[in-house]
Amino acid sequence: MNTDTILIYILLIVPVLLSLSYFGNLSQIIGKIGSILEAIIAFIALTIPLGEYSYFNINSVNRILIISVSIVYTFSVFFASTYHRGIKEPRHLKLHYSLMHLFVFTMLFTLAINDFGLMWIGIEATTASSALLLIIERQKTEIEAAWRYVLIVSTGLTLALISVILIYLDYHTLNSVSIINAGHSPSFILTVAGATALVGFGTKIGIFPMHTWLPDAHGEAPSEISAMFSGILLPVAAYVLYRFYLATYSGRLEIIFMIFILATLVFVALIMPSQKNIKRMFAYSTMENMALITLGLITGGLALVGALLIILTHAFGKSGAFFSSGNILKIYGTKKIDSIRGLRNKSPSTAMSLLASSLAVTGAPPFTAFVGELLIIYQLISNGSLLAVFITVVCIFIISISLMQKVTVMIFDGNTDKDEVAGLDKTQKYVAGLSVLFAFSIIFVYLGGFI
Amino acid sequence: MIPLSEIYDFIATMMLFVAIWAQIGSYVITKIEVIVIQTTFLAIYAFISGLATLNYDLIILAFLIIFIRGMLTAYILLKKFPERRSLIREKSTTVPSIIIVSIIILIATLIIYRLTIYQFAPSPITAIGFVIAIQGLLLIGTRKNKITQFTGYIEEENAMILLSLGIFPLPLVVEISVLLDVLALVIVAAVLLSGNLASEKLEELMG
Repeated sequence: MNTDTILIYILLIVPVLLSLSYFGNLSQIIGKIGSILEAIIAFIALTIPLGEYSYFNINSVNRILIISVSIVYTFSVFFASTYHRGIKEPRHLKLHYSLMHLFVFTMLFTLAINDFGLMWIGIEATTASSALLLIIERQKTEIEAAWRYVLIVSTGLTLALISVILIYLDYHTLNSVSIINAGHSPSFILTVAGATALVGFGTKIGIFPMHTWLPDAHGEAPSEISAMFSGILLPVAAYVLYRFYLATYSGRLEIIFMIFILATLVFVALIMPSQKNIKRMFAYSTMENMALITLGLITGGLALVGALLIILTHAFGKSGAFFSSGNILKIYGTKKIDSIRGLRNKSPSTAMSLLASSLAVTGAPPFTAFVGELLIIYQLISNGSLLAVFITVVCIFIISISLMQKVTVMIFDGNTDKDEVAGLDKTQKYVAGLSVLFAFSIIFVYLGGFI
Repeated sequence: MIPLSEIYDFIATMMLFVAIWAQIGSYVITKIEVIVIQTTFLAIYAFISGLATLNYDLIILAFLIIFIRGMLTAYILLKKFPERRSLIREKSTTVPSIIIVSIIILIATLIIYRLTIYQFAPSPITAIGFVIAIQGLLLIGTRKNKITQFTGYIEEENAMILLSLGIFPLPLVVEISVLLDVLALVIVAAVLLSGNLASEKLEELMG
């Protein structure tokens, strides 16, 4: 076993070991130190050359996802440390930390594993490890949202198992690198496999009409979990779908994917203007981002680079948006947009992070999501998919305008001279601010030629 | 001597009848019994198939199916029932119409199967697996009781194993991991099943 393989094993083992902190009394401090350690290991793992390593593989897409998973995980652990300070049952908080570590392990496993069957299992395991993260306060709405999440996502993923069976039937192996590198001629069986993968993994990604769990889970989860769900879990599922797509590609399949992606964008454009809950609003924005990421991945060429840029900006930008939403919930005690006014005076730092993260996730310049969207549109024009370009541009415009209108109203409306700055823990403010800063810094990563 | 293929067809058909039985009646306890019976049939199928082909992976799989899904899962779900569990009924009054819908969907599923999967997997076992999967989805989509919904999910998972056995058995490590994954979900679901067993419409979860 070479050092690169050992490094991948270490990357996977660390969060598992951290999850054992449930059995001690230092879960918070262990979580903080451990998550920083994990982020450092992930950065060191960037030095691993692309290729196959025992049961794993490192490619240009999953190495970027591994980094974003590790950093968002670190931010989330720090955010949780103060966000849940007033929790009634400390036992629940220990379990919460422990499950967060396991959740990260399942995501990293899914990204690194080279076997389509085990990839499916990894994604299914993310559901099992994350469902209980939604119910830290054991409230009625949280339990109902978690139930819908478990049931809808698991049911959808079960259909994706058909795809695994059909790929195994056709190739007699589940090794993803061998299958994708060998290439294939389009066939009916593989098109069916790709379509079932779309329905199955599309449920997890939030592709319309299988998305129904997504706004509920994102809306009711604690903010750091919403950040992890939106910023890293869904892109991990999109990565898995991308690998299945490469293994089953055909012209007909591309059209099927395109129809579902565009339907998702149209759906979000229709529902976004009527959103009344800040977290549900960002959940629908996540659907838009995921649709664009999937669109970029399947289009290929420059669009693939565009997708990678959106993955990174979305990971940090959306995390920042959910952290800011959590801070707003602490200040105002509500998630209703109509009840949130005068944020600029009440919490200038939260107003700043909310505004910047909203600009990042809507693809406004100078954030890299703008460049990413531009590259995807450029590639679509080059491919002659003009109808797709038209629908995408119109939907992005409507979604961005709707989201920014609601955000600016919350920040700039209702400010008076009598407003007092609300007290908010520094860690929460810093984590939200840092996320946005990371989202912004992706432009330098891109300009520096690292992507 | 009865041909082996007929034994397989018989077992798969019994699994299908059990899936239809799950749609009938409104006592929730029946749904768990249905899952135990269906899982037992699935385990018998895997066991016979393993013996016939001398594939020890399938024999191991058969024992794991009966232990993990037949016994452990049923036990965990039964523990979630309050006292006098045999008397708990679903609140839905649409059960009779669901049965009719179930039969119509069964026929529609077979037609879809004939037009799609049949082209590369022309086996009655695969057809039945496909039909059971859709019946499981129907059970989830039409019922409000969470235990019934979850048994629909288990039924769907059973259907996937049957599909896999009918088309091309997956490697044992994948099959075992699938079983363990489902077990983990059962444990998670058991936690979420505490309190009200009916799925609710909540204002906060709308829009």
